[in-house]
Amino acid sequence: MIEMKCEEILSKLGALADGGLDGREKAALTQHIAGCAACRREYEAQKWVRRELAALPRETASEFLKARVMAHVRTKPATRRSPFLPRLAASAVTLAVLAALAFGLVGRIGNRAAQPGIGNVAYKSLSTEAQAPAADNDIFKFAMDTHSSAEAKFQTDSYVSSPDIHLVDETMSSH
Amino acid sequence: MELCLLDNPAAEPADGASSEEAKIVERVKAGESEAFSLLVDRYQNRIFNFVKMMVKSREEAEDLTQEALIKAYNSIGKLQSTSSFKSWLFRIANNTVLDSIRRRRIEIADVEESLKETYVDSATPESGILAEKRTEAVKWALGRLKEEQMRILVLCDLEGLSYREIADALNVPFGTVQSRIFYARRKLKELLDETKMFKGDD
Repeated sequence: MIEMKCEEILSKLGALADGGLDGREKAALTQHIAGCAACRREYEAQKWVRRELAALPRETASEFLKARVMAHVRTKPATRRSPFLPRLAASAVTLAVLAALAFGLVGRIGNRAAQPGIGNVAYKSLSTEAQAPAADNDIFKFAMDTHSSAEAKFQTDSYVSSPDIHLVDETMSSH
Repeated sequence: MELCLLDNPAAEPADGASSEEAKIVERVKAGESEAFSLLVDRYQNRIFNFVKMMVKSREEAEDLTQEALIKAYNSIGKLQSTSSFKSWLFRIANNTVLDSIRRRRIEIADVEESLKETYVDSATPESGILAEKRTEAVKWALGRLKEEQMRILVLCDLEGLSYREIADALNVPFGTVQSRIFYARRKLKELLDETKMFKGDD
């Protein structure tokens, strides 16, 4: 039989009152409280509070609550979603836009090198030189925005949390 | 009367109610949205009671319960088949309330301070008025606990969640649940003793 000191068993008295603990631990605690008046009082107090709380009356939600929830449910069928898809889609969009940018840039440099005059005219006919890099940035920004918004949506969908206690669903935590 | 039990995690899959619930969850995931009403039937009052303990107004509690249930429906596709719907739903409800308190500064449940001076004689619990006072006194004491202590006692002693489910719902280790429950009950007892509301009890 395990010898236990009061401070070792205190925090387990609630669990004992709740009818748990494995056989060996339960036996050790039971033996201890049989010979320790202070711990016995604590144990009895745990059981008493447990009974008082369990006896509190329960309230009933209004009959309309279910109807309101189900009205939402009927507008949006639940779907099983792969946790990989949103990220994959976001990454694919980013890669596609970056690839387009890269090809466009190569093509533009190639055109300029081959036909500087035509390249410059065409370039200027679309926009000023000062605006052109800005336009590229806009595309890049779009790519980033697309990526981050997809990520954000994914996280928003998964989020049911507060800064203190985070509820990141199990599918997210596996990544 | 619901009392929490220390569960044996290994025994959980054998639990008939859990496996039946898991089947309902799978039906909802498969697109049978009407099956969600079975889950609403099972949990709307339990979630409502849990939320109502933390917020003052009934309307607020109902709105937050609705919000939690809808969040659960919208995210149910991401609930792993091995996870408990119950603890997951309570976790959503808990976080919904915490977010709401933070966002809107809603009033926290607070039973009248005057109850502190109320004397309740436990020798006559059959009296409706005294039983009501007793209830109010316990609610008052619950309201005096730290928020985390109050939540854990509501989940354990009112809603009957197991220690494992509470650990999942509050996202804390199993050992923390064990010690928090002990100290929360001890504090509640101290509060009730100080106010002499339960003279002659235990």
